[in-house]
Amino acid sequence: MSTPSSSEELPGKMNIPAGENGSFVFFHRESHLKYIASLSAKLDKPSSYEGAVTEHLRMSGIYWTYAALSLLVQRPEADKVLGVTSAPSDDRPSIVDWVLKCYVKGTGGFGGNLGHDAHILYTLSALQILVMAEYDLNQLHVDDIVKFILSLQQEDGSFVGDQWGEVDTRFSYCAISALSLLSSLGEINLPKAVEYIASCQNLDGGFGSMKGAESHAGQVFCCVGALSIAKSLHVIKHPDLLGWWLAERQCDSGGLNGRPEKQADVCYSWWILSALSIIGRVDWISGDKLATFISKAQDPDDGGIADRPDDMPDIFHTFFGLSGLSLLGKLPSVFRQIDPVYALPVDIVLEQKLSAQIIGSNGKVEDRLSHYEIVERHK
Amino acid sequence: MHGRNREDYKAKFRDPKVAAGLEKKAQQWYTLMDALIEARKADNSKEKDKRKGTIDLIEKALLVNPDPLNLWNHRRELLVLEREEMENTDPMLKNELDLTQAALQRNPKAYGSWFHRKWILALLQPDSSVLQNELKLTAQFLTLDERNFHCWNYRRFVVSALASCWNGGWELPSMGPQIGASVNNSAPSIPQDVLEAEWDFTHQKIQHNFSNFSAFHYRSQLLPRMIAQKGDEAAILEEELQVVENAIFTEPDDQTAWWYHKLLLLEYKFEPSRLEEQAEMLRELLEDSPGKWVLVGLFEILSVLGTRKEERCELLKRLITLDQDRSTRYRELLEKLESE
Repeated sequence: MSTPSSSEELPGKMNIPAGENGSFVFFHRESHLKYIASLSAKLDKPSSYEGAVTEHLRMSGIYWTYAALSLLVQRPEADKVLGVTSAPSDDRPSIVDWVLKCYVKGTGGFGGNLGHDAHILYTLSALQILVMAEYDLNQLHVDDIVKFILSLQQEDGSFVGDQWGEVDTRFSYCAISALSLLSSLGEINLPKAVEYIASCQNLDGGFGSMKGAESHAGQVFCCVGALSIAKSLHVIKHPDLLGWWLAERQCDSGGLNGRPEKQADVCYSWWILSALSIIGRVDWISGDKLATFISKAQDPDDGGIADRPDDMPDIFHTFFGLSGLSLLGKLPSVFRQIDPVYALPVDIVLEQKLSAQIIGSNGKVEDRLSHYEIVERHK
Repeated sequence: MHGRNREDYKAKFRDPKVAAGLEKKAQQWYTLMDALIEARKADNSKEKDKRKGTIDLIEKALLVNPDPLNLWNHRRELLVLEREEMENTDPMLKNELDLTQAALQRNPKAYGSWFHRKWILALLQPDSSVLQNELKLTAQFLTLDERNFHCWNYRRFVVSALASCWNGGWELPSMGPQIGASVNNSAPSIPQDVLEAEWDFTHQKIQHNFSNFSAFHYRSQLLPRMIAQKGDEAAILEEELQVVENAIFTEPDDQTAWWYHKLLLLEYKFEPSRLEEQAEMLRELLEDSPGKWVLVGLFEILSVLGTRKEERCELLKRLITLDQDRSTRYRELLEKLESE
């Protein structure tokens, strides 16, 4: 992977090839940078309405922000823009310090904001931020975090989000991904966790939020991603059917929806492309049309990406839109790439030696996946 | 931001009056949050009056924003204490049902509100008349948004609660049990009339709108139970084929019923003559409506029958041109078929 010395070599606005005959769409890199840089200052203000209504999920918000920025600039610059490892001003701690303060002693997990209760969603976001910031996770109370995650697994193998007992396959992914980051995957009953996820697959090939729930593309990512980390992709029944179901999420607009006959939304670019990458079938949809849809959802003036064209951007859709372009291979190789299993930059995954399993597509895999265990597609 | 027009949104914030109003709301929210964090820290929950005051304050906050799990958790801590001192928990149940209903009317997709409703039912374990009312409420919510998966999940939770409730106890091993497709697992069997009422409910939803895959999905979960509990597999499956045929002849380009069709073909055995008959119907439909899904459906039927290789190859070739976004998949299928 080529690593330019400075992000200044990257263009502020550039063309993304999107089809035959040299068609292309604009990518407003500089506007997105501006959008991200303005975000933290804005949300921190006690007078920010958007800040107030998203206060409870700030941890995930910061993860989306940091990960999105990581796809736009080189590592040292991302740190500088957000103040990840050193405090940007006297009245604001560094992001790493803030994350550490959200750790809930006694519970062993991280909360969504200072003084909030621990939850598996925010525990994974916290670990993802720390690992991107090159913070040594061994400095954490690893045993207590592992114990917390362990306490969330139910008899049937499913995971609850916290002590109150909500079950969701999102939490299975969070638990398995977090334990993998902590090199402690052996601590839970992994076969049982895999068995539960497998029981959430429906006859249409997709996966739902729990046993019996309707297939939903977001949950498909969680289930397939978790199975990938657990190296258990073989439990997916009819991977061709799953791939077909995912491919049929592409609408005429080029965008992807989350369930049959629903509206397209940029966030599914991530949920679906990552799942298709893991099962080796990204070429089952039109990447050019999807890239065009994502590009139309950009705000060319103030930056950011929205759920669909002409809507108001937010950081969630900005991250998933950028990730979608990255997974489609539409961003030039000087950019850092996103990993479809861990939702982290590929270079971080390599440094941390994170492992997973993916399905090869006719003997071929993308470069970014070649370090994973590869299983062949059954013909 | 889901479904917010960019220009409208920006214009709203440019209006100084609106902006000032929103700033005020933000400050009020933080004041309320600070008060709640203080109350939780002070840990005066043992004092009944203070506890009640905090519960009311949390309610106020949740009606503004039902998303922070922190607030629901705090509330549940206090409710558990409150309950220990109560002889009659009916008012508590009513209050939590009213609160979550109001919160859901504002935001029908808030995870926290749906979960809290499950939690209070599991805690207080009311009798089946309450659960029957819950079914009515989900029917109401599904009139407003027939694809709300939270609501469908909640409905299945209520049905599984009804099932165990009628077996003499609330045996819910965790908060998320649902009716699984498998009839061999340890999940309690569903009383026949509840099962048939649910079956009819999915039928109603589908007849109202063929494009409701959520209803088709639920039907796919109920189908093995219907067959196991009612017998007469052939008649039930014939009814399903007719539901599908009705839908696809009305809206051949809507993919919803085609998925149900696919899973029926995958999971159940049909008389080859019946499938031949359906194939013939689709060939006729193709003449008026040469859309992608009719081609796909015909291909699937012929694949199950294992006959007419040439016709199948022809269908795939037409699909490669007609549905270019997904042409790679059709090419792979064609290559495989031709090499057979």
